[in-house]
Amino acid sequence: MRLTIFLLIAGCLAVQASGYAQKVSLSVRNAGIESVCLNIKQQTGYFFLYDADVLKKSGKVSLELKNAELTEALKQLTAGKALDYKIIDKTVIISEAKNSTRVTQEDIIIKGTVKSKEAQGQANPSLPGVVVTVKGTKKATATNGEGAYTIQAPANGILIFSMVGYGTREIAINGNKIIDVVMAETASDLQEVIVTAYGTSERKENQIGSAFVVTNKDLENKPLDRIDRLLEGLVPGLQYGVQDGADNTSSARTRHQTRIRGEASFGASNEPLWVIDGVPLNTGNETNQILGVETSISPLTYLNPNDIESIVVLKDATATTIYGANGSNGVILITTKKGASGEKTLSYGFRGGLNLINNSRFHVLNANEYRELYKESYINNNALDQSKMPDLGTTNTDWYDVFFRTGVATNHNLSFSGAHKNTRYFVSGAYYNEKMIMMKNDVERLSGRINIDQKISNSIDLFLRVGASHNRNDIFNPGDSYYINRPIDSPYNPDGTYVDAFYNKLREAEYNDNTQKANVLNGNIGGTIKIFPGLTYTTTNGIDYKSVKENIYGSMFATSNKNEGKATFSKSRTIDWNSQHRLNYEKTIKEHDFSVLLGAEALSDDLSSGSLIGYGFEDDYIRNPNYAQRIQTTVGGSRKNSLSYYGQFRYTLSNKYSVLGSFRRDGSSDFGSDVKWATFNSVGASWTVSNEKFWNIKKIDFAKLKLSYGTNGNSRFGAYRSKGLYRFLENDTYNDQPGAVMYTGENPVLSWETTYIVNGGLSLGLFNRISMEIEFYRNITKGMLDKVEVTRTTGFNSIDQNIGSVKNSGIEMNLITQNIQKKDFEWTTKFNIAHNTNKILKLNNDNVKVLDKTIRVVGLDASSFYLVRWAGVDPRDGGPLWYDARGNITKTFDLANRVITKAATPDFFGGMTNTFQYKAFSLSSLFIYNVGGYAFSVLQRDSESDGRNLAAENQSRNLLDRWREPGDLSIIPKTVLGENADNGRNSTRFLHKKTSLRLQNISLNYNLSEKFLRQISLRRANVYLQADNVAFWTPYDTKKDYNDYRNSFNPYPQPLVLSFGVNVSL
Amino acid sequence: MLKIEMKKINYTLILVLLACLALISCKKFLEKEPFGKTGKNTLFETVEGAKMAINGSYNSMLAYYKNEFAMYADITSDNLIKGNKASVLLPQFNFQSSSGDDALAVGDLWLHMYETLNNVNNILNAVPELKTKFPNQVKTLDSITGQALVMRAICHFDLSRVYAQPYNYTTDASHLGIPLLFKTPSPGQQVARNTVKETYDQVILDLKSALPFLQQHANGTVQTSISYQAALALLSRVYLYQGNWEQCVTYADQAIANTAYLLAGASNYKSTFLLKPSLTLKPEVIFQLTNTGLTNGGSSIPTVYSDSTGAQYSASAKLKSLFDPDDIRLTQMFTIPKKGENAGKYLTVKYADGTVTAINPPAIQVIRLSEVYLNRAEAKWNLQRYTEAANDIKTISQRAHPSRTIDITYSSNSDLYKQIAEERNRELCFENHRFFDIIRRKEPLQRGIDCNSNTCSLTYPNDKFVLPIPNKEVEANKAMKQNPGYN
Repeated sequence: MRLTIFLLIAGCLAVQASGYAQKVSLSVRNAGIESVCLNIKQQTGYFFLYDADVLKKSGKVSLELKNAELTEALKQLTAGKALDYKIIDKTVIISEAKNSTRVTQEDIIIKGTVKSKEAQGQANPSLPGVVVTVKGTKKATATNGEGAYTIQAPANGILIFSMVGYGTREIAINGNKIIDVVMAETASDLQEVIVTAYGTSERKENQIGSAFVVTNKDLENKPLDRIDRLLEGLVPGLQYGVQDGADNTSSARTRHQTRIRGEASFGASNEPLWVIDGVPLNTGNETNQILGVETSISPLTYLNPNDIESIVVLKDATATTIYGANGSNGVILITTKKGASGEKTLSYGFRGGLNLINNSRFHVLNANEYRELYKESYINNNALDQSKMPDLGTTNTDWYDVFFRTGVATNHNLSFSGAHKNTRYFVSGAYYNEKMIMMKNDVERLSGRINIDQKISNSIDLFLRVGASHNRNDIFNPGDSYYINRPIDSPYNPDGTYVDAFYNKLREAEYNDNTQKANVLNGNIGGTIKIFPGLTYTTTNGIDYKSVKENIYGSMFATSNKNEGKATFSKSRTIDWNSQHRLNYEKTIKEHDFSVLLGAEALSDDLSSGSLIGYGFEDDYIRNPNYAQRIQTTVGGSRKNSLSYYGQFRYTLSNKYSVLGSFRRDGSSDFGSDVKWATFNSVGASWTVSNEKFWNIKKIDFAKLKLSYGTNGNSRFGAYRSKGLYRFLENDTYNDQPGAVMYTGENPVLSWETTYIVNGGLSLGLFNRISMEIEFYRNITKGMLDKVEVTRTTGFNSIDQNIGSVKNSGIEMNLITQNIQKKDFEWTTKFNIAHNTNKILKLNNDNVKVLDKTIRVVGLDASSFYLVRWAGVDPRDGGPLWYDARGNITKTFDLANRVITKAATPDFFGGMTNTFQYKAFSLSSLFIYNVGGYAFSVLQRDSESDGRNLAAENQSRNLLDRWREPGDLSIIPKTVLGENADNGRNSTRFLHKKTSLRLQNISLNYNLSEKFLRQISLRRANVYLQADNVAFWTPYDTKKDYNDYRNSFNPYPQPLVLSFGVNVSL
Repeated sequence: MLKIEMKKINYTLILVLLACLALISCKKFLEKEPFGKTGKNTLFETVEGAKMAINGSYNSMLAYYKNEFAMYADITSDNLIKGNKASVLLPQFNFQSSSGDDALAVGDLWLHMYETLNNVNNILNAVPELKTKFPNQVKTLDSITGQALVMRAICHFDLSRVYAQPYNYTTDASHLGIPLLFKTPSPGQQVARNTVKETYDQVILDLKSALPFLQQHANGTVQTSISYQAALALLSRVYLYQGNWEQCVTYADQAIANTAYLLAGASNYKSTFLLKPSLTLKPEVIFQLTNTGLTNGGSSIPTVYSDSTGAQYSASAKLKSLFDPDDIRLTQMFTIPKKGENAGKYLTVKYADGTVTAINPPAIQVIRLSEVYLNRAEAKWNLQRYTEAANDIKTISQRAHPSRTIDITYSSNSDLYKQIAEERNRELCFENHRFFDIIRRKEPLQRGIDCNSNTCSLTYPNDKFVLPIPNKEVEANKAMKQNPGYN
């Protein structure tokens, strides 16, 4: 009604108003029309007549006017809106437009950029390739490399932004000439380009290979000590843990391993190939041991995780064949951050945390429990003179308290990135320091990185990636002391000196030195030349350099080198270089996409080590082997070269059908002359079913099938094993003349292991919210390497041979669900699960090989245990019982009663990450689970000695449940001091089921508001709380402070790490 | 502009091609050698490499001699009794060898003899090419060839002595010998045993073939390596074992006729064994294995035989009774500790004079001139040249009795045979002969009254006179036949 009145008045006062030439200047963004009108009124003195509801309904406007005519101002004000205006005298009347006037709306040019929601805060969040269409028309364009677009559309039209993997968004133009859009990924994230080997890439939409991407976002708020640890629970089929056969699991420095899709090799390395920016990283020998030094510190600890842009884990043949003879255990590609065109960013991050030994310790008897058990065990041994029971004193020492402390870790990270003209750069520096929970174990890492991309001309780009770090590790290895030392012993005499009645490692902790310093550089330099459109030549020349110096001093006051002193100075140096040259060709003709790669690569590994050991010093301050009375030197090393040619062809038709073929030809100096060269091939295909026209299942927005087959190899089993090797040691001389003695047998037909991989997969996207990826695989490794007994007429007991084959097959699933997506609240779950079965298919001459606790038999899992079965405790006399081979209970332990039982391979395992976002808060948690599979606990075997070792060593607290009197139903036999030798022999008593659930990591993050940040000139800032190794559950939990699988596996506790962090960027 | 682009493209292409070519042309790139060790092929690219390999072979041979082999034929014989600490070759002392004893003498000897053989064969197979490559070093290479041939003969002969019955066990020596190898088999290869006849034929062939190569060392003075005379002397031994008496005498004559090697006098007899190798001091030793780097410790021969505290075996009553009281081989060649574990026992001083020290490396006499005399004596007896035989043992006995004149008188020819055998044992006890001598003479083993073995007598023929082939060998090598009496 009000409008009618206005109109009536307007009609009465109908006067030409065009004569007025009032100028208007305006600069508003997203302002209400009414407020703009008021503004114009103030500038011009014109009155405005309008229906406030209509104006409100018409939305907001953005105007940029400088001395514009009023009419121009009004035109722009109403452009794209369903509004008309009329000027009558000094009054402007704004009214709802009639339908007829809408059609005549002019097209306007709209510009804007499209950004990814997920990439917010990153250097370059823009989304290229987003299709922008005008609704109801065929007019369309796509965003360019910077995410920008320009399109002409009616001012009142609607734009549709769409991109596979990001769904679609419709936005009304409303006359706006600048429309910036932020698009959120749908769960499938199909547009993601996965950069795989040698500059090749696949789009997730039609990916054939198995390449799992971990982004830097996944790595946020995770531990900073080593890179391999970060992947556990995130990558389906990847397992991380203590190195098989590591001999120092009680140490703070035990070796760790990463396994992808099970273990395929007996004699060669099972570690994946780690590649940083295209340059392979030497992670040690077959068992991650660093040759030439006493303590192996993984090179994966020398890298700053904050420098990582992404980690790609390659698993199938099409992805790994191109790594040839090194690819069969999977390949892990680490890409470091690059500078992005766009804004300069300066970021600083700090994290500080406490490492708490918590409840993960191995529970041993306290002094009173020990005394009680000792007495009982003493009495139980009839052979002992009961009147001579030793005095057990009144001391009460908690040796965990003695050796362990609260650890402290701090990290500072500074990075600077951006672009200047033709240069893009990323520069970072970081300082990481950790005082470990074990006394005298400190880690210091000072790292830096410079990544530069330089455009020289339109056709030439150069790049440089260099990361370097200085690492200092102070080491003290207490051995088993922290759990075997008796609680009735005190470390100190009343006068404060060390007790020496037992091997008091504290003395060593004080007097000995053990420091390792590593200077590490890895980087590469190279460039690309565009030869003609689509064809580029790329060269990458990289180096992985490590120089590790180890200074160990065994004091003359310490137990092991009493009155003499021993100084060891060792140096181990690795220089691995690599030179790659390749041609990449990419061409798109209509719906045909081609890409071709041809390349060659030369690799050289050079390891040299030397150590100087000096014995006998005048006093403890000298500590320099040069001044020792006796000096011993050792020098060692190895060299290896390899040469490879490789290629890949990829073709995609209409984004639906893709095929991929790869080959690699490898030559290695490690191998015999007959087999110096090997060729590996793979083929694969994928079909993106949902891109077919007939696909009309709305709920399944994406569906793809893939299959690949191919081979790759494993040549990593130590150098020169094929060659008959002579050595010339001092012991090989003959009467002062140098002598050469052959010390490894020759096997000229020794060859690499070859793995034949079938990989298939199904990818689904559901409701735009769920992404599911299922893969199945079958890896058959043939020509497995191992030392085999040979005819002694060769002069050797055993010689390396290709002895058999093993199959690893399994299924993996990765599931991403966007459970809730509200404006202020989001909940995303990433879940993965993997199942692997291992089976020996063939062994040399079908020979069964019995190892310490396991057995290798054709047809069985290679990790099958071969043990005497434990039958429990005889309630009558507390004696141990076993089953004999026929299943009858026996009181005698006999190795002949061993049977094949259970295997280490779990039924399934995986991880789950949940992320909750509420306004500026986000909460993320990582659970890791494992179901099935068995582990033998050496720790338990030795610490539940049932009285046998009690006189010298403390025991597991589980012994409190021992058998005491006839009729007792106990799982622990009667304890007898100094006896029960058989109880401690390997049996299923010490076999644990590995089923467990761990809350590995949880973090709470708060992003400071942009409004606030702008006031203090910061672009981004967040603070967070983080906890690692939070909780561990097994279904077989025992009583409190007893030992179950959690703490019986490795004696070294997994500390609970509580951290606080802050990141700011300008 | 287009021209410039084209030029750039050409330039680029050239670069690319060059880079590829550079990689391909590096043929040597894939021939990388380890550090501080070298592949077989590289070692034998130079004469120096072959020299090092021959030294390495001696070193390897010494390893099997010093730890077990050089004690085998005394410990298994009637010469020794065990002490409380006896462990080395104890199963052999008790005749309780088992084919499963892979880590003991049964497996060790087999493995280490073939280990040496492997080193030796590698040399022999590499030398022909070296000769064409280095024509001006042919003399050196010939010497290496000669030494290697003799070493191959020694390896084959020693293997046969331990693992095969003596030559005359069957009339035509058609019984199981040992695998003869001229090239190291590949890991999966099956290697069968040759007959004893084939074994001896090959040993003799190698020794004879070595002679022309070693001719240049006819007056060789380095006793630690193999000389022309060593080959001659060894031929006399092999022919003796074979029962080819004429040939035994022929080669013994040649060895004795050479004036570079003479019997030591009584006054420096002991030093022949104990002092550092030097021809002036001990011209009697034709070939010995010793090493300046050799330590006496562990279970090696000086500890087992001669260390007053550590010795594991001492002379039996039967052996002691062979000596006259004034025989210097009794009075000078034994040490009798006054206290401790071995108090009152007769320990040989052939390897160390009662104490084992790191200085003065022990020497293991592979062949001495006195053996050649004794070989000849036995061969001549078999040729019924009894007087000459008596003369030879007189030479040996006289040297051991410097204070009086020795006359060999014998009541019968068989009495002379007995005297020859006894003289041989007096002279060569503790030098790895006795047991081999017993079985090649088809005698039974009869230990004395102080026998403290589980087995004090064995009749001839006897399966136990040879060691079993180690089980691990039979398992890995399907063509290998086990010795009768073992499984």
